[in-house]
Amino acid sequence: MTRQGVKAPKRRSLDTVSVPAPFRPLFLSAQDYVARYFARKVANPKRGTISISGERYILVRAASMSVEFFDLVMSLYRDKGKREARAVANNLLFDLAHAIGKADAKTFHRRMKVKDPIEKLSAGPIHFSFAGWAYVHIHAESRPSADDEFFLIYDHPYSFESDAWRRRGRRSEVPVCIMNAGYSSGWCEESFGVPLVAVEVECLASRGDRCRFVMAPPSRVEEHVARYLGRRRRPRSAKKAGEAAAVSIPEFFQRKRMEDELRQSHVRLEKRVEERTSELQAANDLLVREIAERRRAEEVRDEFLSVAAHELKTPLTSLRGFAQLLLRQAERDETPDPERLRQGLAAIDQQSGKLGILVDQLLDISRLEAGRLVIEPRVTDVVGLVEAVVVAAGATTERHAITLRGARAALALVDPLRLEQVVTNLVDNAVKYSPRGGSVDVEVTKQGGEIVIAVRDRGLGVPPKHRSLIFDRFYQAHTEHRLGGMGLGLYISRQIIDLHGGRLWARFPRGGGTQMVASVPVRRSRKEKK
Amino acid sequence: MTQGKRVLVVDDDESIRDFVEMALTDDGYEVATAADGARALEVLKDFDAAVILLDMRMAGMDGWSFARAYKELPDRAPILVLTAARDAALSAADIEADAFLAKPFELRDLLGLVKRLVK
Repeated sequence: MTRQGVKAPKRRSLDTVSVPAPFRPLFLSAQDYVARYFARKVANPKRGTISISGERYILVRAASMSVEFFDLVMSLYRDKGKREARAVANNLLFDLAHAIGKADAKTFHRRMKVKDPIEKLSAGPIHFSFAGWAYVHIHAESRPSADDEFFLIYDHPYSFESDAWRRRGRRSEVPVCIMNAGYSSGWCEESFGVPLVAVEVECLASRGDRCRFVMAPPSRVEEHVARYLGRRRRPRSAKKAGEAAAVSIPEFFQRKRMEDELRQSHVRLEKRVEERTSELQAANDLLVREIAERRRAEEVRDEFLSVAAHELKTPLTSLRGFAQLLLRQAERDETPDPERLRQGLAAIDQQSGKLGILVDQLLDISRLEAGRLVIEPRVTDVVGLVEAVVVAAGATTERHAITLRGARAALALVDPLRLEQVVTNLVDNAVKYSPRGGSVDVEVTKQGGEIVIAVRDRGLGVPPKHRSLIFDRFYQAHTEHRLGGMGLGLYISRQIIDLHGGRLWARFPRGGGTQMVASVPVRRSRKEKK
Repeated sequence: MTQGKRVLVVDDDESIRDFVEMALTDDGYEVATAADGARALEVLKDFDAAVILLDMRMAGMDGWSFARAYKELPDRAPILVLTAARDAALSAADIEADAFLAKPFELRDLLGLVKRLVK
């Protein structure tokens, strides 16, 4: 067992690395640290161990990792050609050294408890020289920074790799300091936290005057190498021109770059697939909604036809029934009872009137759908019109007290037949939807340029969830009561009021029941303006 | 023999109730009427109907509800469904009625069916 320099002499000058002046103090303290570290070196051949400050090291003959390794790979890959063989050797050595550089850096950062990137870098070249790889000379143009701008230019005098070639008297067509490049870029990558690659731009083993390296992020290194070679080539003779081609970006990083690009294009592809998928989903949703809407519309239409048929058949049943009843008596030559005759004819009259209204509604709907419902405005006494409706409605019911209040007279330019249709619809609804009777208040007022007709009942009202639907075509608020009708009345009424340039809406007073309010402008209808 | 046989007419349309009642009365039936299912059940408490003419779509208690309630009673008369619905036969089958007529119907057919059912 041998112990060497347990107490390392403190070096006063920085002599294990050469760096630009501003960095010297930092590197000097790193040198102290590394010197102390290597001073605690214990070799125990009886156990087969070498330990430095508690870390195990191994010694490897430099030639076996450089020139001899190349020769070995060359002979193994002889059949694949020189280029391929060299690529295999280079990649192996670069990957290995890069990994070692990263791992060593990590260990030293932990041991030295350093956080700053330059501090983290500082022990690297010194450890490098203590471990016998090479001496390091960092040029003043270097700009080490933890971003895309990272640039380091440095020499490795006494590089173990070029040295091994030269000791054999061998010359290479390409730079040979692959592990040097891998290790230094690995250490720096770990120190700065950005991916870095080093390229040997000049090599003593291949006609260079020195072993010089350029280190930069993979995306930038080619540009730095090109700039360096371009700058050098100009003053030099043409025979050195081939050098540019001989310097190669380590395939390790080319591969890494390709992987990055692949990953990025993968991400782009996934994003596009995602976008397309969501577009398709949206289109599909739209289609599903449209189909559902169409189906709903078909269902509504179907239901309407069935309701309409029912509504038409009911008065028709009475019509035919009374007609056949009277006919039967006539055929038997019986003298008809005058009261029965009167009742029968009255029923026929009433039921045919009902049928007429239903048919009119159907025609109105078809006109509205075709946009052909027109109004013919005339100066009309709206109060007189409403009064006539109230009187007529009052005659049909004994359970309801229908009263008219408000203005004594109100002239407006309206279609009297259509407005009468609307008011009749509103008053009939008020009666129909208050089956237990009660008061129906009708009021006509002048408000600004409008005449407002309000019809209030104290009947069933409309459940809140149905309120937004009562003006819809075919809608019936009280299907459970089956109060009859085709569900067209309010829809048609609103369309007629719209055509007058007015509004029709519903209020649901606290006291219950419904108040329908129609307003029409006094002077001009919307239709007339057009 | 139809004399004195009782018929209950259930329909929410007054005009239909009227002429059916007149026609049946002319033929010697004793007739009661009701505007919906609930009133029909009331009437049946002291009106021993030999046949019930039943409308399906009615304001208030409809034909389906009436049929359900009527099934619970001990003595049941045959039911003749009178409906303006598109599927009169289906409505009749729904409530297991004994016969049906689609509105509008021939008076002759109505009277013939009632005559057959009261036997």
